[in-house]
Amino acid sequence: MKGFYSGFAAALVTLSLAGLFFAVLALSYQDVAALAELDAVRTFDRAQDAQDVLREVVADAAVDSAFAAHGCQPGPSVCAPDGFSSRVSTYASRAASRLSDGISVHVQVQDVSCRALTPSLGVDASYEVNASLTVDVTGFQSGTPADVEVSYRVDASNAPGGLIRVGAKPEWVVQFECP
Amino acid sequence: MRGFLLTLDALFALAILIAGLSFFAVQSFSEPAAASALYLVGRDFLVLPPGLQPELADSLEPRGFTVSSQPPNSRFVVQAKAFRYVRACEGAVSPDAGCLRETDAAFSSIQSVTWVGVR
Repeated sequence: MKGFYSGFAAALVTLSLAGLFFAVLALSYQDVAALAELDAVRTFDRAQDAQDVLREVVADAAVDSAFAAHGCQPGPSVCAPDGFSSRVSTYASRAASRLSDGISVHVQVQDVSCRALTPSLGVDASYEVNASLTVDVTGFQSGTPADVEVSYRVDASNAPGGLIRVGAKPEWVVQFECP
Repeated sequence: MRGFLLTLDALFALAILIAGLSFFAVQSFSEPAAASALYLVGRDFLVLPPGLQPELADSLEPRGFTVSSQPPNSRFVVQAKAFRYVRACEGAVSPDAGCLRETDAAFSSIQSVTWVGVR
């Protein structure tokens, strides 16, 4: 009788401890899954942020190229090799290093095109610029596109009050007055 | 014999009690799951226009959430980040402005960080 009770007791204790072990193990797996999900969300958000930032980077390169070509000390055309194309590469590289904080972000310029829409006569000129970039974010595996393709119309023109206006349409305009 | 059985009863009770309590204790607060929720709150906060951010922070305060630019003194804290390109040159500018010659990202941080804590 004593043997029966002690065996029964041992079995119950073992079952309880095994139950506890598996319960904790199951919860650990839940935690691992939750952590993986958090990492995925963070990476996805970084990819989205990178896309938004790069659209702005291209617009910035377009505005600065227009200023360099049609500003107070006119230089090479927006479409010159050291114009828009060169700026997109430099600015994108800089943005990629800023975006790589904890999560690695690589940006590659795939294609850049620039076309003059009007004959360049002094200040007045219009261009169409396009850029295609690929964003590679470490761990980003979802089917959401991580590529950026943007197109801007770049204008330089005289503005009222002796100002010169350059901008990447539709939304980025800079006005300045030459001394 | 009787004493032996009473000791065993106590051991059963203890084992079952520990198993039950541990299960509920662990399940009641799963840190990674809480981290995901807090991170999402932080991202929502960061993508709001700056003028609306204090309103969101104030509305979360009574529910036990603290949103701040520094790690709050809370039981559990998570950091959220967002990246946004800040235009240094827009509108009327001086032709000498450096932002017309270099990426605007060189003139201000594109990263914003917030901390979310829960009591």
